[in-house]
Amino acid sequence: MSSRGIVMEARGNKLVVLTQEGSFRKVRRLGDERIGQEIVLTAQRKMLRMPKAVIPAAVILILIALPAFWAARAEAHPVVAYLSLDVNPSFEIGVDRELNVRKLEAMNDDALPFVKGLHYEGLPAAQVMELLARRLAESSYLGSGGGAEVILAGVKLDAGAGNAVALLSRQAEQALLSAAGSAQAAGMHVTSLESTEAVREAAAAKGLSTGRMTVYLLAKSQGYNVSLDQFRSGAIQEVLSWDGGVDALVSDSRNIGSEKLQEQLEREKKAAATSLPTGSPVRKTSPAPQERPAGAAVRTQSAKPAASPEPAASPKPSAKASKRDAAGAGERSDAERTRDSRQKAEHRHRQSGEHKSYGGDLERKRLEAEKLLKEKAEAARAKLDEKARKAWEKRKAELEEALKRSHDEMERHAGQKRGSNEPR
Amino acid sequence: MEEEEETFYSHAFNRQAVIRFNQNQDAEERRQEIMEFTAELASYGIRFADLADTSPKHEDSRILLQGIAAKLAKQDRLFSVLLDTRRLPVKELTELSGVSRKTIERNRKYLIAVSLLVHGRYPFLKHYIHIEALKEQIEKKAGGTGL
Repeated sequence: MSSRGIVMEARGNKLVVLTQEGSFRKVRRLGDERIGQEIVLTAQRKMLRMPKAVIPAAVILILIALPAFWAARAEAHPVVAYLSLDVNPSFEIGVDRELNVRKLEAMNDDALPFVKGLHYEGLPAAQVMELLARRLAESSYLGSGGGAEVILAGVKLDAGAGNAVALLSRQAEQALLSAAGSAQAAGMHVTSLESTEAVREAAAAKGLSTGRMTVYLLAKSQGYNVSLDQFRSGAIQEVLSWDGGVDALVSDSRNIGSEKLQEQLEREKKAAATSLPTGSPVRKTSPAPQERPAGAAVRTQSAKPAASPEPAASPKPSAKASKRDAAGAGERSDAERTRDSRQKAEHRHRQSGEHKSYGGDLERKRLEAEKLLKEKAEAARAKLDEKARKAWEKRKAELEEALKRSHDEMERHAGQKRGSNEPR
Repeated sequence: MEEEEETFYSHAFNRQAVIRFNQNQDAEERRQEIMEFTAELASYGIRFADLADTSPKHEDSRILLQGIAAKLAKQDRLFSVLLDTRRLPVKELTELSGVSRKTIERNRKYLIAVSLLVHGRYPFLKHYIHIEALKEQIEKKAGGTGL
Protein backbone atom coordinates (compact mmCIF):
# COMPACT_ATOMS: atom_id res chain seq x y z
CA MET A 1 0.00 0.00 0.00
CA SER A 2 2.46 2.55 -1.07
CA SER A 3 0.58 4.11 -3.94
CA ARG A 4 -0.52 7.73 -4.02
CA GLY A 5 -3.87 9.42 -4.09
CA ILE A 6 -5.55 12.79 -4.06
CA VAL A 7 -7.77 13.71 -1.18
CA MET A 8 -11.28 14.12 -2.56
CA GLU A 9 -13.21 14.30 0.66
CA ALA A 10 -12.21 14.87 4.26
CA ARG A 11 -14.75 14.13 6.92
CA GLY A 12 -14.05 13.46 10.56
CA ASN A 13 -11.06 11.17 10.82
CA LYS A 14 -11.66 9.66 7.41
CA LEU A 15 -10.45 10.63 3.98
CA VAL A 16 -11.63 9.49 0.59
CA VAL A 17 -8.82 9.50 -1.91
CA LEU A 18 -8.70 8.90 -5.62
CA THR A 19 -5.70 6.75 -6.43
CA GLN A 20 -3.65 6.92 -9.55
CA GLU A 21 -5.20 3.67 -10.68
CA GLY A 22 -8.56 5.38 -10.68
CA SER A 23 -10.15 3.77 -7.67
CA PHE A 24 -11.61 5.45 -4.64
CA ARG A 25 -10.49 4.46 -1.18
CA LYS A 26 -11.28 5.33 2.39
CA VAL A 27 -8.20 5.92 4.50
CA ARG A 28 -7.45 7.19 7.94
CA ARG A 29 -6.76 10.87 8.45
CA LEU A 30 -3.47 11.53 10.17
CA GLY A 31 -3.15 15.32 10.22
CA ASP A 32 -5.00 18.17 8.62
CA GLU A 33 -4.93 16.95 5.04
CA ARG A 34 -6.81 19.24 2.71
CA ILE A 35 -8.89 18.45 -0.31
CA GLY A 36 -6.77 18.36 -3.42
CA GLN A 37 -3.63 17.38 -1.56
CA GLU A 38 -1.73 14.36 -2.73
CA ILE A 39 -0.87 11.84 -0.07
CA VAL A 40 1.06 8.61 0.05
CA LEU A 41 -1.04 5.66 1.05
CA THR A 42 1.10 4.10 3.75
CA ALA A 43 0.24 1.16 5.91
CA GLN A 44 -0.62 3.40 8.83
CA ARG A 45 -3.38 4.97 6.79
CA LYS A 46 -5.09 1.66 6.35
CA MET A 47 -8.55 1.62 7.87
CA LEU A 48 -9.22 -1.04 10.43
CA ARG A 49 -12.14 -2.73 8.87
CA MET A 50 -13.77 -5.91 10.05
CA PRO A 51 -14.90 -8.18 7.27
CA LYS A 52 -18.68 -8.04 7.18
CA ALA A 53 -19.09 -11.79 7.60
CA VAL A 54 -17.25 -11.66 10.92
CA ILE A 55 -19.76 -9.38 12.63
CA PRO A 56 -22.69 -11.82 12.97
CA ALA A 57 -20.32 -14.55 14.02
CA ALA A 58 -18.92 -12.32 16.74
CA VAL A 59 -22.40 -11.41 17.94
CA ILE A 60 -23.40 -15.07 18.13
CA LEU A 61 -20.23 -15.90 19.98
CA ILE A 62 -20.92 -13.20 22.53
CA LEU A 63 -24.51 -14.36 22.94
CA ILE A 64 -23.31 -17.86 23.63
CA ALA A 65 -20.54 -16.80 25.94
CA LEU A 66 -22.52 -14.37 28.08
CA PRO A 67 -24.83 -16.86 29.86
CA ALA A 68 -21.87 -19.10 30.49
CA PHE A 69 -20.04 -16.15 31.97
CA TRP A 70 -22.96 -15.27 34.18
CA ALA A 71 -23.39 -18.85 35.23
CA ALA A 72 -19.74 -19.02 36.15
CA ARG A 73 -20.12 -15.88 38.21
CA ALA A 74 -23.19 -17.23 39.96
CA GLU A 75 -21.38 -20.52 40.63
CA ALA A 76 -18.71 -18.65 42.50
CA HIS A 77 -21.25 -17.52 45.09
CA PRO A 78 -24.07 -20.04 45.24
CA VAL A 79 -27.08 -19.34 47.36
CA VAL A 80 -26.88 -21.60 50.41
CA ALA A 81 -29.80 -20.32 52.44
CA TYR A 82 -33.02 -18.39 52.00
CA LEU A 83 -34.82 -16.23 54.48
CA SER A 84 -38.44 -15.47 53.81
CA LEU A 85 -39.55 -12.26 55.43
CA ASP A 86 -43.28 -11.60 55.82
CA VAL A 87 -44.40 -8.30 57.21
CA ASN A 88 -47.20 -7.81 54.91
CA PRO A 89 -44.97 -7.19 52.01
CA SER A 90 -43.22 -10.52 51.61
CA PHE A 91 -39.60 -10.86 50.59
CA GLU A 92 -37.18 -13.64 50.04
CA ILE A 93 -33.51 -13.14 50.57
CA GLY A 94 -30.96 -15.62 49.28
CA VAL A 95 -27.48 -15.53 50.75
CA ASP A 96 -24.21 -17.21 49.95
CA ARG A 97 -21.78 -18.84 52.34
CA GLU A 98 -20.43 -15.50 53.54
CA LEU A 99 -23.95 -14.26 54.26
CA ASN A 100 -23.77 -11.85 51.36
CA VAL A 101 -27.03 -11.31 49.56
CA ARG A 102 -27.19 -12.96 46.16
CA LYS A 103 -30.90 -12.84 45.58
CA LEU A 104 -33.69 -10.61 46.73
CA GLU A 105 -37.18 -11.17 45.47
CA ALA A 106 -40.52 -9.61 46.13
CA MET A 107 -43.03 -12.36 46.88
CA ASN A 108 -46.12 -10.18 46.51
CA ASP A 109 -47.12 -6.92 44.89
CA ASP A 110 -46.80 -4.96 48.10
CA ALA A 111 -43.14 -5.85 48.25
CA LEU A 112 -42.31 -4.76 44.73
CA PRO A 113 -41.67 -1.06 45.41
CA PHE A 114 -39.28 -1.94 48.23
CA VAL A 115 -37.13 -4.18 46.13
CA LYS A 116 -37.13 -1.91 43.12
CA GLY A 117 -33.92 0.01 42.71
CA LEU A 118 -32.30 -1.63 45.70
CA HIS A 119 -28.71 -2.62 45.12
CA TYR A 120 -28.13 -5.76 47.05
CA GLU A 121 -25.88 -7.99 44.98
CA GLY A 122 -22.94 -9.05 47.10
CA LEU A 123 -23.75 -6.81 50.06
CA PRO A 124 -23.81 -8.26 53.58
CA ALA A 125 -27.26 -9.56 54.50
CA ALA A 126 -27.41 -7.44 57.64
CA GLN A 127 -26.90 -4.28 55.60
CA VAL A 128 -29.54 -5.17 53.03
CA MET A 129 -32.05 -6.08 55.69
CA GLU A 130 -31.38 -2.83 57.51
CA LEU A 131 -32.11 -0.97 54.30
CA LEU A 132 -35.29 -2.94 53.75
CA ALA A 133 -36.40 -2.45 57.33
CA ARG A 134 -35.83 1.28 57.11
CA ARG A 135 -37.89 1.46 53.94
CA LEU A 136 -40.64 -0.58 55.56
CA ALA A 137 -40.62 1.68 58.60
CA GLU A 138 -40.85 4.75 56.38
CA SER A 139 -43.94 3.31 54.76
CA SER A 140 -45.26 2.59 58.25
CA TYR A 141 -45.55 -1.11 57.70
CA LEU A 142 -43.83 -1.71 61.00
CA GLY A 143 -46.21 -1.13 63.82
CA SER A 144 -49.20 0.75 62.55
CA GLY A 145 -52.27 -0.29 64.45
CA GLY A 146 -51.15 -2.43 67.33
CA GLY A 147 -47.83 -3.72 66.21
CA ALA A 148 -46.67 -5.63 63.20
CA GLU A 149 -46.70 -9.36 62.92
CA VAL A 150 -43.51 -10.49 61.29
CA ILE A 151 -42.74 -14.01 60.21
CA LEU A 152 -39.23 -15.06 59.37
CA ALA A 153 -38.76 -18.45 57.77
CA GLY A 154 -35.31 -19.73 57.03
CA VAL A 155 -34.51 -22.45 54.55
CA LYS A 156 -31.14 -24.12 54.40
CA LEU A 157 -30.23 -25.43 50.96
CA ASP A 158 -26.76 -26.62 51.71
CA ALA A 159 -25.62 -28.71 54.62
CA GLY A 160 -22.47 -26.61 54.64
CA ALA A 161 -24.45 -23.50 55.39
CA GLY A 162 -23.99 -24.16 59.10
CA ASN A 163 -25.99 -21.85 61.30
CA ALA A 164 -26.53 -19.36 58.50
CA VAL A 165 -30.27 -19.51 58.92
CA ALA A 166 -30.22 -18.77 62.61
CA LEU A 167 -27.79 -15.93 62.05
CA LEU A 168 -29.92 -14.50 59.28
CA SER A 169 -33.05 -14.59 61.39
CA ARG A 170 -31.30 -12.82 64.21
CA GLN A 171 -29.93 -10.18 61.88
CA ALA A 172 -33.34 -9.63 60.34
CA GLU A 173 -34.97 -9.32 63.71
CA GLN A 174 -32.40 -6.82 64.87
CA ALA A 175 -32.72 -4.81 61.69
CA LEU A 176 -36.49 -4.66 61.96
CA LEU A 177 -36.48 -3.76 65.64
CA SER A 178 -33.91 -1.03 65.25
CA ALA A 179 -35.66 0.43 62.24
CA ALA A 180 -39.06 0.41 63.89
CA GLY A 181 -38.06 2.69 66.74
CA SER A 182 -38.69 2.02 70.37
CA ALA A 183 -42.43 2.74 70.39
CA GLN A 184 -43.23 0.54 67.46
CA ALA A 185 -40.74 -2.11 68.40
CA ALA A 186 -42.63 -2.69 71.62
CA GLY A 187 -45.73 -3.65 69.65
CA MET A 188 -43.91 -5.62 67.04
CA HIS A 189 -43.97 -9.34 67.16
CA VAL A 190 -41.38 -11.35 65.31
CA THR A 191 -41.73 -15.08 64.83
CA SER A 192 -38.80 -17.09 63.59
CA LEU A 193 -39.35 -20.42 61.92
CA GLU A 194 -37.22 -22.98 60.24
CA SER A 195 -38.58 -24.45 57.09
CA THR A 196 -37.43 -26.90 54.45
CA GLU A 197 -36.57 -26.69 50.83
CA ALA A 198 -39.57 -28.81 49.87
CA VAL A 199 -41.87 -26.37 51.61
CA ARG A 200 -40.20 -23.50 49.81
CA GLU A 201 -40.73 -25.16 46.46
CA ALA A 202 -44.34 -25.98 47.24
CA ALA A 203 -44.88 -22.38 48.33
CA ALA A 204 -43.37 -21.10 45.11
CA ALA A 205 -45.65 -23.39 43.13
CA LYS A 206 -48.66 -22.00 44.94
CA GLY A 207 -47.44 -18.41 44.71
CA LEU A 208 -46.96 -18.01 48.45
CA SER A 209 -44.01 -16.95 50.51
CA THR A 210 -42.22 -19.66 52.40
CA GLY A 211 -43.22 -18.09 55.69
CA ARG A 212 -46.91 -18.16 54.90
CA MET A 213 -46.73 -21.68 53.57
CA THR A 214 -44.92 -22.86 56.67
CA VAL A 215 -47.47 -21.28 58.99
CA TYR A 216 -50.24 -22.79 56.92
CA LEU A 217 -48.74 -26.24 57.16
CA LEU A 218 -48.18 -25.85 60.87
CA ALA A 219 -51.76 -24.80 61.34
CA LYS A 220 -52.93 -27.75 59.30
CA SER A 221 -50.78 -30.23 61.17
CA GLN A 222 -52.16 -28.96 64.45
CA GLY A 223 -55.69 -29.50 63.28
CA TYR A 224 -56.72 -25.95 62.47
CA ASN A 225 -59.14 -25.62 59.67
CA VAL A 226 -57.64 -23.15 57.24
CA SER A 227 -57.43 -22.87 53.50
CA LEU A 228 -54.51 -21.82 51.38
CA ASP A 229 -56.47 -18.96 49.88
CA GLN A 230 -56.74 -17.37 53.25
CA PHE A 231 -52.99 -17.30 53.39
CA ARG A 232 -52.51 -16.06 49.91
CA SER A 233 -53.79 -12.60 50.68
CA GLY A 234 -54.26 -10.65 53.83
CA ALA A 235 -52.11 -10.35 56.87
CA ILE A 236 -51.30 -13.44 58.83
CA GLN A 237 -52.48 -12.06 62.14
CA GLU A 238 -55.92 -11.68 60.63
CA VAL A 239 -55.94 -15.19 59.33
CA LEU A 240 -55.21 -16.73 62.67
CA SER A 241 -56.77 -14.15 64.90
CA TRP A 242 -59.55 -16.44 66.07
CA ASP A 243 -57.28 -18.75 67.92
CA GLY A 244 -54.49 -17.07 69.78
CA GLY A 245 -52.61 -15.97 66.68
CA VAL A 246 -49.44 -17.28 65.29
CA ASP A 247 -47.94 -17.47 68.69
CA ALA A 248 -50.09 -20.31 69.89
CA LEU A 249 -49.32 -22.09 66.71
CA VAL A 250 -45.62 -21.60 66.75
CA SER A 251 -45.13 -22.03 70.45
CA ASP A 252 -44.58 -25.72 69.93
CA SER A 253 -43.34 -25.47 66.37
CA ARG A 254 -39.86 -25.94 67.67
CA ASN A 255 -40.58 -29.50 68.60
CA ILE A 256 -42.68 -30.09 65.53
CA GLY A 257 -39.61 -29.95 63.38
CA SER A 258 -39.12 -30.42 59.72
CA GLU A 259 -40.34 -34.03 59.60
CA LYS A 260 -43.81 -33.00 60.61
CA LEU A 261 -43.80 -30.22 58.06
CA GLN A 262 -42.70 -32.68 55.44
CA GLU A 263 -45.43 -35.06 56.46
CA GLN A 264 -48.09 -32.39 56.18
CA LEU A 265 -46.73 -31.31 52.82
CA GLU A 266 -46.95 -34.88 51.57
CA ARG A 267 -50.51 -35.08 52.77
CA GLU A 268 -51.34 -31.87 50.95
CA LYS A 269 -49.84 -33.17 47.78
CA LYS A 270 -51.70 -36.43 48.03
CA ALA A 271 -54.94 -34.62 48.63
CA ALA A 272 -54.33 -32.47 45.60
CA ALA A 273 -53.56 -35.56 43.54
CA THR A 274 -56.74 -37.40 44.56
CA SER A 275 -58.92 -34.42 43.85
CA LEU A 276 -57.41 -34.07 40.41
CA PRO A 277 -57.19 -37.50 38.86
CA THR A 278 -56.81 -36.14 35.35
CA GLY A 279 -54.40 -33.26 35.72
CA SER A 280 -51.04 -33.05 37.33
CA PRO A 281 -51.35 -32.43 41.03
CA VAL A 282 -49.19 -29.33 41.30
CA ARG A 283 -49.66 -26.83 38.58
CA LYS A 284 -48.34 -23.37 38.96
CA THR A 285 -50.27 -21.07 36.73
CA SER A 286 -53.80 -22.20 35.96
CA PRO A 287 -56.26 -20.93 38.52
CA ALA A 288 -58.50 -23.98 38.73
CA PRO A 289 -56.03 -26.35 40.40
CA GLN A 290 -55.23 -23.66 42.91
CA GLU A 291 -58.81 -23.50 43.93
CA ARG A 292 -59.26 -27.18 44.07
CA PRO A 293 -56.42 -28.31 46.31
CA ALA A 294 -57.86 -26.09 49.01
CA GLY A 295 -61.13 -27.93 48.74
CA ALA A 296 -59.34 -31.21 48.43
CA ALA A 297 -57.35 -30.60 51.54
CA VAL A 298 -60.56 -29.97 53.35
CA ARG A 299 -62.00 -33.17 52.04
CA THR A 300 -59.15 -35.24 53.43
CA GLN A 301 -59.90 -33.79 56.75
CA SER A 302 -63.48 -34.87 56.54
CA ALA A 303 -62.23 -38.34 55.68
CA LYS A 304 -60.24 -38.40 58.85
CA PRO A 305 -61.78 -39.85 62.00
CA ALA A 306 -62.71 -36.38 63.11
CA ALA A 307 -65.60 -35.98 60.72
CA SER A 308 -69.03 -34.71 61.55
CA PRO A 309 -71.22 -37.24 63.32
CA GLU A 310 -74.62 -36.13 62.03
CA PRO A 311 -75.68 -38.19 59.03
CA ALA A 312 -78.22 -35.56 57.98
CA ALA A 313 -75.34 -33.33 57.02
CA SER A 314 -74.38 -35.56 54.13
CA PRO A 315 -77.13 -35.10 51.55
CA LYS A 316 -77.34 -31.39 52.14
CA PRO A 317 -73.93 -30.30 50.90
CA SER A 318 -74.07 -32.79 48.09
CA ALA A 319 -77.31 -31.25 46.98
CA LYS A 320 -75.48 -27.99 46.97
CA ALA A 321 -72.74 -29.52 44.91
CA SER A 322 -75.10 -30.88 42.29
CA LYS A 323 -76.86 -27.59 42.18
CA ARG A 324 -73.52 -26.05 41.46
CA ASP A 325 -73.07 -28.45 38.59
CA ALA A 326 -76.40 -27.48 37.13
CA ALA A 327 -76.03 -23.78 37.70
CA GLY A 328 -72.49 -23.48 36.42
CA ALA A 329 -69.62 -21.38 37.59
CA GLY A 330 -71.67 -18.52 38.98
CA GLU A 331 -72.58 -20.32 42.15
CA ARG A 332 -69.29 -22.01 42.65
CA SER A 333 -68.00 -19.63 45.26
CA ASP A 334 -71.27 -19.85 47.12
CA ALA A 335 -71.11 -23.61 47.32
CA GLU A 336 -67.51 -23.39 48.40
CA ARG A 337 -68.44 -21.06 51.18
CA THR A 338 -71.17 -23.25 52.53
CA ARG A 339 -68.84 -26.15 52.45
CA ASP A 340 -66.29 -24.14 54.36
CA SER A 341 -68.79 -23.30 57.02
CA ARG A 342 -69.65 -26.97 57.27
CA GLN A 343 -65.99 -27.69 57.80
CA LYS A 344 -65.90 -25.17 60.56
CA ALA A 345 -68.75 -26.91 62.22
CA GLU A 346 -66.88 -30.15 61.95
CA HIS A 347 -63.88 -28.48 63.44
CA ARG A 348 -65.89 -27.34 66.42
CA HIS A 349 -67.22 -30.82 66.91
CA ARG A 350 -63.79 -32.24 66.83
CA GLN A 351 -62.62 -29.74 69.40
CA SER A 352 -65.39 -30.71 71.73
CA GLY A 353 -64.16 -34.26 71.57
CA GLU A 354 -66.85 -36.17 69.72
CA HIS A 355 -64.75 -38.59 67.81
CA LYS A 356 -66.47 -41.02 65.53
CA SER A 357 -65.03 -42.96 62.68
CA TYR A 358 -67.23 -43.34 59.67
CA GLY A 359 -65.73 -40.52 57.63
CA GLY A 360 -65.00 -42.66 54.57
CA ASP A 361 -68.54 -44.03 54.65
CA LEU A 362 -69.90 -40.55 54.80
CA GLU A 363 -67.90 -39.50 51.80
CA ARG A 364 -69.23 -42.43 49.78
CA LYS A 365 -72.79 -41.66 50.79
CA ARG A 366 -72.33 -38.08 49.81
CA LEU A 367 -71.09 -39.06 46.38
CA GLU A 368 -74.01 -41.41 45.90
CA ALA A 369 -76.50 -38.77 46.87
CA GLU A 370 -74.82 -36.38 44.51
CA LYS A 371 -75.14 -38.85 41.65
CA LEU A 372 -78.78 -39.54 42.42
CA LEU A 373 -79.61 -35.88 42.49
CA LYS A 374 -77.90 -35.36 39.20
CA GLU A 375 -79.96 -38.09 37.61
CA LYS A 376 -83.14 -36.62 39.06
CA ALA A 377 -82.26 -33.23 37.73
CA GLU A 378 -81.66 -34.75 34.32
CA ALA A 379 -85.03 -36.48 34.35
CA ALA A 380 -86.74 -33.30 35.46
CA ARG A 381 -85.16 -31.41 32.65
CA ALA A 382 -86.27 -34.03 30.12
CA LYS A 383 -89.81 -33.83 31.48
CA LEU A 384 -89.70 -30.10 31.28
CA ASP A 385 -88.53 -30.30 27.71
CA GLU A 386 -91.45 -32.56 26.82
CA LYS A 387 -93.89 -30.19 28.48
CA ALA A 388 -92.43 -27.23 26.70
CA ARG A 389 -92.64 -29.00 23.35
CA LYS A 390 -96.31 -29.77 23.87
CA ALA A 391 -97.05 -26.24 24.96
CA TRP A 392 -95.28 -24.91 21.91
CA GLU A 393 -97.24 -27.16 19.60
CA LYS A 394 -100.46 -26.06 21.16
CA ARG A 395 -99.53 -22.44 20.82
CA LYS A 396 -98.45 -22.98 17.25
CA ALA A 397 -101.81 -24.52 16.37
CA GLU A 398 -103.56 -21.58 17.98
CA LEU A 399 -101.49 -19.11 16.09
CA GLU A 400 -102.09 -20.85 12.81
CA GLU A 401 -105.80 -20.89 13.53
CA ALA A 402 -105.77 -17.18 14.29
CA LEU A 403 -103.80 -16.43 11.17
CA LYS A 404 -106.15 -18.40 9.04
CA ARG A 405 -109.11 -16.65 10.56
CA SER A 406 -107.73 -13.21 9.94
CA HIS A 407 -106.83 -14.21 6.42
CA ASP A 408 -110.36 -15.36 5.76
CA GLU A 409 -111.70 -12.15 7.19
CA MET A 410 -109.50 -10.09 4.92
CA GLU A 411 -110.59 -12.13 1.99
CA ARG A 412 -114.19 -11.63 2.86
CA HIS A 413 -113.66 -7.94 3.38
CA ALA A 414 -112.04 -7.59 -0.02
CA GLY A 415 -114.89 -9.55 -1.56
CA GLN A 416 -117.40 -7.23 0.03
CA LYS A 417 -115.54 -4.21 -1.31
CA ARG A 418 -115.39 -5.70 -4.75
CA GLY A 419 -119.07 -6.60 -4.45
CA SER A 420 -120.00 -3.11 -3.46
CA ASN A 421 -117.85 -1.59 -6.24
CA GLU A 422 -119.09 -3.71 -9.08
CA PRO A 423 -122.75 -2.76 -9.10
CA ARG A 424 -121.86 0.90 -9.47
CA MET B 1 30.80 41.69 -8.58
CA GLU B 2 28.69 42.54 -5.63
CA GLU B 3 25.92 43.64 -7.88
CA GLU B 4 26.12 40.44 -9.89
CA GLU B 5 25.84 38.41 -6.76
CA GLU B 6 22.86 40.39 -5.64
CA THR B 7 21.07 39.95 -8.89
CA PHE B 8 21.84 36.28 -8.86
CA TYR B 9 20.32 35.87 -5.44
CA SER B 10 17.35 37.93 -6.22
CA HIS B 11 16.87 35.97 -9.38
CA ALA B 12 17.00 32.71 -7.51
CA PHE B 13 14.66 34.08 -4.92
CA ASN B 14 12.25 35.13 -7.58
CA ARG B 15 12.35 31.74 -9.23
CA GLN B 16 11.53 30.09 -5.99
CA ALA B 17 8.73 32.48 -5.34
CA VAL B 18 7.32 31.80 -8.75
CA ILE B 19 7.50 28.06 -8.20
CA ARG B 20 5.88 28.40 -4.82
CA PHE B 21 3.25 30.64 -6.32
CA ASN B 22 2.58 28.19 -9.08
CA GLN B 23 2.34 25.34 -6.60
CA ASN B 24 -0.15 27.26 -4.56
CA GLN B 25 -2.01 28.16 -7.65
CA ASP B 26 -2.08 24.49 -8.66
CA ALA B 27 -3.34 23.43 -5.29
CA GLU B 28 -6.07 26.02 -5.39
CA GLU B 29 -7.07 24.96 -8.90
CA ARG B 30 -7.09 21.32 -7.89
CA ARG B 31 -9.30 22.12 -4.98
CA GLN B 32 -11.62 24.04 -7.23
CA GLU B 33 -11.74 21.17 -9.69
CA ILE B 34 -12.49 18.62 -7.00
CA MET B 35 -15.25 20.77 -5.55
CA GLU B 36 -16.85 21.03 -8.97
CA PHE B 37 -16.60 17.31 -9.46
CA THR B 38 -18.13 16.76 -6.03
CA ALA B 39 -21.05 19.01 -6.94
CA GLU B 40 -21.63 17.28 -10.23
CA LEU B 41 -21.62 13.85 -8.61
CA ALA B 42 -23.98 15.11 -5.93
CA SER B 43 -26.50 15.96 -8.64
CA TYR B 44 -26.52 12.23 -9.40
CA GLY B 45 -26.88 11.40 -5.73
CA ILE B 46 -23.35 10.06 -5.48
CA ARG B 47 -20.86 10.77 -2.72
CA PHE B 48 -17.18 9.91 -2.61
CA ALA B 49 -17.82 7.70 0.37
CA ASP B 50 -20.22 5.60 -1.74
CA LEU B 51 -17.60 5.33 -4.42
CA ALA B 52 -15.02 4.18 -1.91
CA ASP B 53 -17.39 1.44 -0.78
CA THR B 54 -18.40 0.28 -4.24
CA SER B 55 -15.46 0.90 -6.52
CA PRO B 56 -14.04 -2.31 -7.97
CA LYS B 57 -11.31 -3.91 -5.93
CA HIS B 58 -9.66 -5.95 -8.67
CA GLU B 59 -7.46 -4.33 -11.22
CA ASP B 60 -8.99 -6.27 -14.11
CA SER B 61 -12.52 -5.23 -13.38
CA ARG B 62 -11.41 -1.68 -12.67
CA ILE B 63 -9.76 -1.40 -16.08
CA LEU B 64 -12.79 -2.98 -17.74
CA LEU B 65 -15.18 -0.56 -16.09
CA GLN B 66 -12.97 2.42 -16.85
CA GLY B 67 -13.04 1.35 -20.47
CA ILE B 68 -16.84 1.15 -20.48
CA ALA B 69 -17.09 4.55 -18.79
CA ALA B 70 -14.73 6.06 -21.37
CA LYS B 71 -16.79 4.60 -24.19
CA LEU B 72 -19.92 6.06 -22.65
CA ALA B 73 -18.24 9.46 -22.37
CA LYS B 74 -17.13 9.35 -25.98
CA GLN B 75 -20.52 8.49 -27.48
CA ASP B 76 -22.44 11.72 -27.35
CA ARG B 77 -25.78 10.05 -27.97
CA LEU B 78 -25.41 7.73 -24.96
CA PHE B 79 -23.87 10.38 -22.78
CA SER B 80 -26.71 12.79 -23.44
CA VAL B 81 -29.07 10.06 -22.23
CA LEU B 82 -27.11 10.00 -18.99
CA LEU B 83 -27.17 13.78 -18.70
CA ASP B 84 -30.88 14.04 -19.48
CA THR B 85 -32.24 11.15 -17.48
CA ARG B 86 -29.52 10.94 -14.82
CA ARG B 87 -29.56 7.22 -15.45
CA LEU B 88 -27.18 4.92 -17.22
CA PRO B 89 -28.34 3.69 -20.61
CA VAL B 90 -27.89 0.16 -19.31
CA LYS B 91 -29.17 -1.70 -22.35
CA GLU B 92 -27.00 0.17 -24.77
CA LEU B 93 -23.99 -0.22 -22.54
CA THR B 94 -24.42 -3.97 -22.30
CA GLU B 95 -24.63 -4.15 -26.09
CA LEU B 96 -21.65 -1.86 -26.49
CA SER B 97 -19.36 -3.53 -24.00
CA GLY B 98 -20.59 -7.10 -23.92
CA VAL B 99 -20.75 -7.29 -20.12
CA SER B 100 -23.82 -8.40 -18.27
CA ARG B 101 -26.53 -6.05 -17.16
CA LYS B 102 -25.83 -7.06 -13.60
CA THR B 103 -22.24 -5.90 -13.79
CA ILE B 104 -23.30 -2.54 -15.17
CA GLU B 105 -25.93 -2.07 -12.50
CA ARG B 106 -23.69 -3.18 -9.68
CA ASN B 107 -21.06 -0.63 -10.65
CA ARG B 108 -23.48 2.08 -11.58
CA LYS B 109 -21.96 4.73 -9.38
CA TYR B 110 -18.40 4.05 -10.43
CA LEU B 111 -19.35 4.09 -14.10
CA ILE B 112 -21.17 7.39 -13.78
CA ALA B 113 -18.32 8.94 -11.81
CA VAL B 114 -15.62 7.92 -14.26
CA SER B 115 -17.59 8.87 -17.35
CA LEU B 116 -18.35 12.29 -15.87
CA LEU B 117 -14.70 12.67 -15.10
CA VAL B 118 -13.67 11.75 -18.64
CA HIS B 119 -16.29 13.89 -20.29
CA GLY B 120 -16.08 16.89 -18.04
CA ARG B 121 -13.51 19.63 -17.71
CA TYR B 122 -11.31 18.13 -15.08
CA PRO B 123 -7.84 18.34 -16.61
CA PHE B 124 -5.95 17.80 -13.44
CA LEU B 125 -7.92 14.77 -12.26
CA LYS B 126 -7.97 13.24 -15.71
CA HIS B 127 -4.27 13.64 -15.95
CA TYR B 128 -3.77 12.20 -12.51
CA ILE B 129 -5.54 8.93 -13.07
CA HIS B 130 -4.12 8.44 -16.53
CA ILE B 131 -7.48 8.62 -18.15
CA GLU B 132 -5.88 10.64 -20.91
CA ALA B 133 -3.99 7.60 -22.07
CA LEU B 134 -7.16 5.56 -21.82
CA LYS B 135 -8.97 8.05 -23.96
CA GLU B 136 -6.34 8.00 -26.63
CA GLN B 137 -6.38 4.27 -26.68
CA ILE B 138 -10.11 4.28 -27.18
CA GLU B 139 -9.87 6.93 -29.83
CA LYS B 140 -7.28 4.88 -31.63
CA LYS B 141 -9.49 1.82 -31.44
CA ALA B 142 -12.48 3.77 -32.64
CA GLY B 143 -10.48 5.16 -35.55
CA GLY B 144 -9.17 1.69 -36.35
CA THR B 145 -12.59 0.18 -36.66
CA GLY B 146 -13.79 3.18 -38.62
CA LEU B 147 -16.37 4.27 -36.08
